[in-house]
Amino acid sequence: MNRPASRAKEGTSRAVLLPAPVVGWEDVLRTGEPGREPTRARLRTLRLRGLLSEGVTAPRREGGRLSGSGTYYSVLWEWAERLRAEGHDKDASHLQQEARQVEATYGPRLATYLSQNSLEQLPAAAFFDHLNKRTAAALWRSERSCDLVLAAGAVVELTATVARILGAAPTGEETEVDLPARLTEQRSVPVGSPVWVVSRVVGGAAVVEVLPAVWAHLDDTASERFRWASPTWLAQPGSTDEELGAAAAERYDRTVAAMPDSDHVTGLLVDARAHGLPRRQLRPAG
Amino acid sequence: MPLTWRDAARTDRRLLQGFQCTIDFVRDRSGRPRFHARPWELDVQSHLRRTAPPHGPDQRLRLGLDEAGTLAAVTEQARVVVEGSISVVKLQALAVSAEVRGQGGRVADDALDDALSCSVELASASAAAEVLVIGWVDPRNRPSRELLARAGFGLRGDAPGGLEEWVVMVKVTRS
Repeated sequence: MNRPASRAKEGTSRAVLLPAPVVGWEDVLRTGEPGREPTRARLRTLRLRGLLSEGVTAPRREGGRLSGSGTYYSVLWEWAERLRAEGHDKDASHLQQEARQVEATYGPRLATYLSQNSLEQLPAAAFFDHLNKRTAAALWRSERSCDLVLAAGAVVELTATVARILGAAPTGEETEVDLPARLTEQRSVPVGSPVWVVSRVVGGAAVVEVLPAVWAHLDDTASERFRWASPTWLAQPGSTDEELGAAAAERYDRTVAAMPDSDHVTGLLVDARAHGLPRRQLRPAG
Repeated sequence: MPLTWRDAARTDRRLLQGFQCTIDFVRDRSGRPRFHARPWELDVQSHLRRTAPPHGPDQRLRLGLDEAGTLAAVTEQARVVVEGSISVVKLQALAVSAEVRGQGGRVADDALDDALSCSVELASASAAAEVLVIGWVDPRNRPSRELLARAGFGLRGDAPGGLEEWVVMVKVTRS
């Protein structure tokens, strides 16, 4: 199991949240055409037209028993689909090439691993860290992909209808979104799980997706692009209460308890002298 | 019963280290923290637990204790500037213990009353006739926004870091 938190202390890298690097074929098809249910027939068509690779096929196990087979793809196919839908065909083609390369490099190991384990267990694979970095590097080079991101965070509350997600936006600000719970159900994301939220406009409608995310341990250069995707209140694997408390105190000192700068104070005084602020009287005790 | 308020002293550090004004982390099966559902509450709790009183002459850290001597609420104020007849004081923290919540905001109202009185005292060292009290609030922190509105504060606009700035001009009347 990769433990980004402990290695991050060495000062040469940073743990950030990234979309899980491998997804099911249904997710890729749903991303390409959000209004249609994914079918094996459409998967075959896309493959025949060369619009999708063969992916990685592995026997699927449920409760320790064989249960058909699963077909998996690099998550970069999803990002290519989003960019294509936005009209960025060149960027989409580039990401498709990257996706093919990732699958060529990691396909055999993925097939072996996923024949014995579930997709949710992939972060425990020995090659996962490298796969994650390779995928992150492709995303890192695709600036337009990051333009579609609303937030990286976690599902903190899940009711029958609503999934509440707290996260950090690419601007660095904390954000909170309530989304239909079905979006998290489609991706098998339980409460507490890290996620990315992405959105785009299709015709006159907004398409919002919740993507399962994983902690990735990136070096300084690569992690700079994803610096925002590391909400300090969200525990990295291995974090302690003390570490999270220290980060929270530092955040408070830097935000709520920070002192206003001179320009801000000047603005306050101007408003005060203009009698434009609410007023009340106070009679001191004694 | 109203709380008894006093300034925090060096000997109160241990008391503050145990102060709890929010829920616990959501934890995994092994008990490790996964996330906190109300990060704005975690932030102020963590800040207060690490605060080391006594504060200097431009700041106040106030402790509100109930009849049993339990720490029920904490407030913190800091003088920002005095210019002419106006003194600006910032509410740095206001937190109510998780144990005494659920009383319709009574404890929080009591805490804010004391914080405003202390703000006036911080300003009284100057010749200022009016005190502009400001507070920066996380927009998700509904109880704090409602508390400030009850006390006559108004929303002035945005503060740095995506926070809201709530303000009130306090005129001191002495009988």
